[in-house]
Amino acid sequence: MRISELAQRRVDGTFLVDEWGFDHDLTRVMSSLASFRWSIDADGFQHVPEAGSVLMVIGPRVKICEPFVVAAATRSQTGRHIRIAGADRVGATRGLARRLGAIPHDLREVRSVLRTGAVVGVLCTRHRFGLPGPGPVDPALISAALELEVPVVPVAVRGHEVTGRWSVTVGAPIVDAGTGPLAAVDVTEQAERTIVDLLD
Amino acid sequence: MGSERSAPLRWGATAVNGGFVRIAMTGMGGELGTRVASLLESDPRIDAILGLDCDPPRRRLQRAKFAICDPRDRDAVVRAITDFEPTAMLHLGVYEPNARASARAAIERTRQGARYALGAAAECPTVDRFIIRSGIEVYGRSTSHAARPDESRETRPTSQFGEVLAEVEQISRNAAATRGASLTILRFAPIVGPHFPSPLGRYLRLPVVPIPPMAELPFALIHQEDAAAAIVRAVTVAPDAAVNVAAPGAVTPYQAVRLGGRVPVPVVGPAWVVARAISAVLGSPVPDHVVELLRRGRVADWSAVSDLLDWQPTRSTIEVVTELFEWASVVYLRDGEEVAA
Repeated sequence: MRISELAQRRVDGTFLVDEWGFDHDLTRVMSSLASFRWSIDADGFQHVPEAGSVLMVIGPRVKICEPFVVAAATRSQTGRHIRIAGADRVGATRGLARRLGAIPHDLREVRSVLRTGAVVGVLCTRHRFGLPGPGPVDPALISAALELEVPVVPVAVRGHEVTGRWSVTVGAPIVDAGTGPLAAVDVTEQAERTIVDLLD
Repeated sequence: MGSERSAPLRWGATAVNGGFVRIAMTGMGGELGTRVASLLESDPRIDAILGLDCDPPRRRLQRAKFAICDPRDRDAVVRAITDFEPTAMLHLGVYEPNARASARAAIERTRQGARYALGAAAECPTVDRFIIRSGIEVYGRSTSHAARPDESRETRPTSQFGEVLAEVEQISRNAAATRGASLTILRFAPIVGPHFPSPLGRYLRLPVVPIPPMAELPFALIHQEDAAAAIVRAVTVAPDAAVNVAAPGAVTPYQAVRLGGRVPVPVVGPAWVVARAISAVLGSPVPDHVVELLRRGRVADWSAVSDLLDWQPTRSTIEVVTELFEWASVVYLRDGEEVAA
C-alpha cells in the first residue's frame, strides 16, 4: 500500500465503495493505525477460509473495542475485511461505521452480504445485569448462514482498552446438518458454549 | 412474422384481441419513452403502438402513433386509450420533480396521469399486462429503513416523489386486479445519462457541488439505455412482480463529484436550505428526494432482475457517473468557422 496512491484515489474519486458503503482504502488505513494502538495475540485463524463467505460469532462484548479488535486481527491474519452486523446502530456514527464495513443487523441484509462471499461478524449482545459469560446471539442471523451453507465459526476475544493488549481465538467451524429455525438455535447455542470454552 | 410470433417469448393471452399485440404507452415524449418506443418498433411481433404525452417524441418514430395530450386531461387520455384497445399498458408517464417540469406540475401529472391512463386501461377487456415505471424512492430512507431493500420490503416513502410513486403503484395494483392482468412494477434507481433530464445529473454537473461533509452513504444509478432495455424486456416477459432495477456498485456524493472533476463543498444542517436556493438560481433546482439521496444514500437489492427479466444492466454505477461527465458541453461556433462534419 502506497500512501501516494491512496491519496491520489481520494482526490480523483476512483476509490471503491460498495453498496453498503464499505470503503476499502479507508479500512486499510484504519487497520494499519490499529496496529500501533493495540497488541493482538491471534490464534486459530486457519479456520477462516482464504476466500468465500464465513460467519463469525464474536463474544463476549464487554467494552466497545471488541468488534474493531477482531476486524484488525482478521485483517492482519488473513488479509480479509470483516463486515460486522449491527455496528452501525448509533445514528451519529452510522456513516463512518458503514465506511469501515458495518452492515445493518437484519436477516435479509446479512444474507445479501454473505452472497457476495464476505466475512460477516455477528456480535454477542451485552449482559445488562452483570451475568457472567457472553450474552446471547440472535439466531435469525445464524439462520442466514445455514440457509446459504456458509461455515459458522465462534470467536472469543478478551483484553483491556487501557493496556491495549488483546487476544483473539477462533474456534473450529460448527458442524450441523440441516437448516430451519431449530437448527439455527442449536448452532447459536453451540457457538455460545464454544466461546465460553475458548475463554477458559 | 408468424414464425417469429412463436419465438420463446411469453405473450400470454393475446388471443382475446385476435392474436394482435397492441401497446399503449404513456410518457412517450420523454427521452426514456421515445427510446423505448423506437426499440419496440423494431420488434415485428408488435402490431401497433400508441403513445401519449404532453410533449412530442424526441426523435422520429416509424410505426408508432402519437397523440399529444396533457396527462391531466381526463377525457383525452381515456378516449385515446379505450379507442385503441391495447393488449399491453406501458405506463412510463412518471414525471420526476424538476426534471422536465416544476415539482408541483410533475407531481400532478404523475398522479392524475396514472389515475386516468391506468383507469382507462382497466376498462379495456383486451389488456393482459401492465408494466409500470416506478423508482426505488418508494422504499424511503431513514435509520429504521433497510439499507439495501429488496422487493419484499414494505414501501414507506420519505420524499414527495417516493410518495407519488407509491400512489402510482397502488393505482396500478387496483387496475391489474380489476382486469386479472399481470403487473410488472419496475423500480428504477435514479435514471441518468447523456441528454436525460434529471435533477441529480444536472446537480452533479454544477461546477461547485454541495455535499454532506463526512462518511456519506452511497447511491446507485441506472443508465438511460439500460432502463429502456429493462422496460422492453418487461413488456416481453411480463413477470407478475415488482423488480428493482439498478446498476451494480455504488458511489458516494463526494466520489461522484470528484469523478467529474468538480469541486465538492461540505454542507451541514440548515446550510442545505441556502445550498438549494443557490443551486436553483444556477439552473439546477434540487427536489427533496435528491437531497435525501445525497444525505442518506439510495441503493436497492437488484439481484432479482436477472431471474425475473432474464436480463442484466450493462453499465456499473461508476461507469454511469463517468459517462454523465463525458457528455460534452455545448460548443458555440462562430460564423464562418470551418469545422469537421
